[in-house]
Amino acid sequence: MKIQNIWDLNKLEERGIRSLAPKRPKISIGLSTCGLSLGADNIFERMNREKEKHALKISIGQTGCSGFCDLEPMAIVRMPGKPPLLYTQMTVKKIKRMMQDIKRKKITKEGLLCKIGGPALPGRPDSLLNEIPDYQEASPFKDQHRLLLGNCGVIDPLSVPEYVAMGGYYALYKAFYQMSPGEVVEEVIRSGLRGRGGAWFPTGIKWDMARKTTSEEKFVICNADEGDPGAYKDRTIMEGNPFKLFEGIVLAGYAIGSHLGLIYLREEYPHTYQFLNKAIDIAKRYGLLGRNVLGSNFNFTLKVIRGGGSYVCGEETALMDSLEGEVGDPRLRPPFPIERGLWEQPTIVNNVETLANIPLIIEHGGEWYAGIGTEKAKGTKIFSVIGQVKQPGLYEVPLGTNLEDVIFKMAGGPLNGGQIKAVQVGSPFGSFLTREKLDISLDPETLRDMGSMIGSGVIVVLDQETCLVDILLHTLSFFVEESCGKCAPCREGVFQMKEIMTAIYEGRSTMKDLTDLKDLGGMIKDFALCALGGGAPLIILNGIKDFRKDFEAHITTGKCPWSS
Amino acid sequence: MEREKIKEIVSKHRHEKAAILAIFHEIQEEDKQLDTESLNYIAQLLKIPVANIYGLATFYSAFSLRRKGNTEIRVCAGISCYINGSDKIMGAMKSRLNIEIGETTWDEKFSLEKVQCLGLCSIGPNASFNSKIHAHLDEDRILEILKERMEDSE
Repeated sequence: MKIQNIWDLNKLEERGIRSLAPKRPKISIGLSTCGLSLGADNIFERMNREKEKHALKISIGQTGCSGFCDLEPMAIVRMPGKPPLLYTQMTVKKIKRMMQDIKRKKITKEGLLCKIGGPALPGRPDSLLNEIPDYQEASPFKDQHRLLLGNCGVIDPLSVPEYVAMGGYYALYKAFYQMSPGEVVEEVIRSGLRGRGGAWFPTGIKWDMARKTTSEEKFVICNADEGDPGAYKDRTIMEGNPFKLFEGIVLAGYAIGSHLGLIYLREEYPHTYQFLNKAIDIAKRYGLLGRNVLGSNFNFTLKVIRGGGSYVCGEETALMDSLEGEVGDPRLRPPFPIERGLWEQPTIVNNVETLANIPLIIEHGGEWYAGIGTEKAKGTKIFSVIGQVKQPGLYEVPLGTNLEDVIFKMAGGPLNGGQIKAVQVGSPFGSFLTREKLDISLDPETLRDMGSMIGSGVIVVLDQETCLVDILLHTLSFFVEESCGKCAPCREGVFQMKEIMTAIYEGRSTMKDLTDLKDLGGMIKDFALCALGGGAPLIILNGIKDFRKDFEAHITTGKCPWSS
Repeated sequence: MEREKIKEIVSKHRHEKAAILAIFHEIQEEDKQLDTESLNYIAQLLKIPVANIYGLATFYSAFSLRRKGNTEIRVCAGISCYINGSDKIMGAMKSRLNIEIGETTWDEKFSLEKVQCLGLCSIGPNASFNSKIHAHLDEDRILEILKERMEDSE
């Protein structure tokens, strides 16, 4: 069924509501990459067998990842007259028991985390239901502001009706039938949205410049080369709510006058590749991609391109080289992609998270969006909190949220009652902060003023048992391996820094090596061609400044004091 | 790989050089490698210098000029997995398979790679065996998985 007008959209919404509040009980299992790696495929299969064997009147469906992979495989249970219930860490045994409970119209308590909001539903009040915390009050979702992730792990990511029932595609409809491309751009400018891939450039300004170029052909590139180790927010959006991303991409195309969108996806996400292609086919069937999108006269084609496992291709000019079938070498800017981008045509390159924000901005208005966040950084940001914390995962909070609150209140603080030694915001380029420096606002300006960066939002938490020299050396090895080799400061300089760091780690160095690192780092910072080379020394230089004791301990004792 | 098959893949992508990554992916998925002969032939079909094709195939870490194993083992070396001991997982694989990173066992059954983050950072250390990702690994667990794979391939 192709959606031609608002009535079609409304009909689809009704279908979505019926699917989200079904008449017959329904269990949906999390089948994203994380769920699958924890055996969700097996559970899914066994559920189907169980259903057949006992002729159970239960529907079986799927959902995406909520950002808390350690709670996977998750299950959402929908029973008539009751709010959806969210279960964690399911096993075949648990799900079999649950299916029997459902048959007896009983709510299973084992593994139940929360109920998923909404007003009280009619019917007999269930005392157990009152005791179950709501999604908004249950850890780890508590205190978050899940504008982007709210539907991830809740709806069926491949169901257009369910996405529409959650408000999807009304923004695109509004843009097509009530707004000019210029007005869409205006709204994005008003929102104050800035690029979430790490550069934090104002999205609306970029779009405005691209819109005003007169070229016949323009391109929208969605940067899904989520290469920062520790980041998986883009994967979660793509696998949890792909149509939201597609809607954002089409809106971008409409705004700047482009009819071709390319998602450049990192090679390390093979499941996501299959999944996105499936989602694109579905969107085409509903007339949400292809000719006459939503019954308008706007045509838009969307394709997914797989990368080749190169980190530097996440840098926008290298990414375009890669799309043109070249080696990913960062180009000097200017010219910027909006002037001369892919195939020399005006091109906008936006991160997945950035684009997923667009439907929200168009639906609720730029002013509404600008009301969230700090004076200069608007909206929410998804932070990937990993390392030695009790509850690692994706935390979506307004920009400007206190870092300590995220680590201690939301993520539960250090693991095993340990003490925090260092926290790296903006991994891999962000500097490691000492415990005393954590009472800060999470926004690009604050981190920049501290001589670091917020990057794409990876927060690595390390406890007292960790050797900072070891971690810094590991990060440096990553930079060496991912250097494209084009400029000497990065290719040779960062390599030399790694050699010195290795010597320090292994205890064959002197204090002079610290001075050498500083001199070398300063030179690389000034002369490297792109952000990879320029950013690599910063983390080491700040590391020496703030964790000097760790370095000195290696130099004076001649070994790593932390290695057993 | 057979020339006919390569020709088919290149034609499918309309002889466009821009599609080179897709062409490489498809050939390697089937042939487990991009050997010199294949690269030469691709260059010929696309009418571009062999050096150019060779440069591309070696720049992108996803591609290998040497044959990969039937089972490609990729151990995640992302920061989160590293903190949780991914180097031990890698060490166990290296010694059990008796190969280094980037190598393939003599019987071409297994190859070993390091991957910069599989994007499953709260359930690491992780490793993938072809498309199947295994989470919450330790040395014993990954050796067990490897053993199962070895028995399956017998």
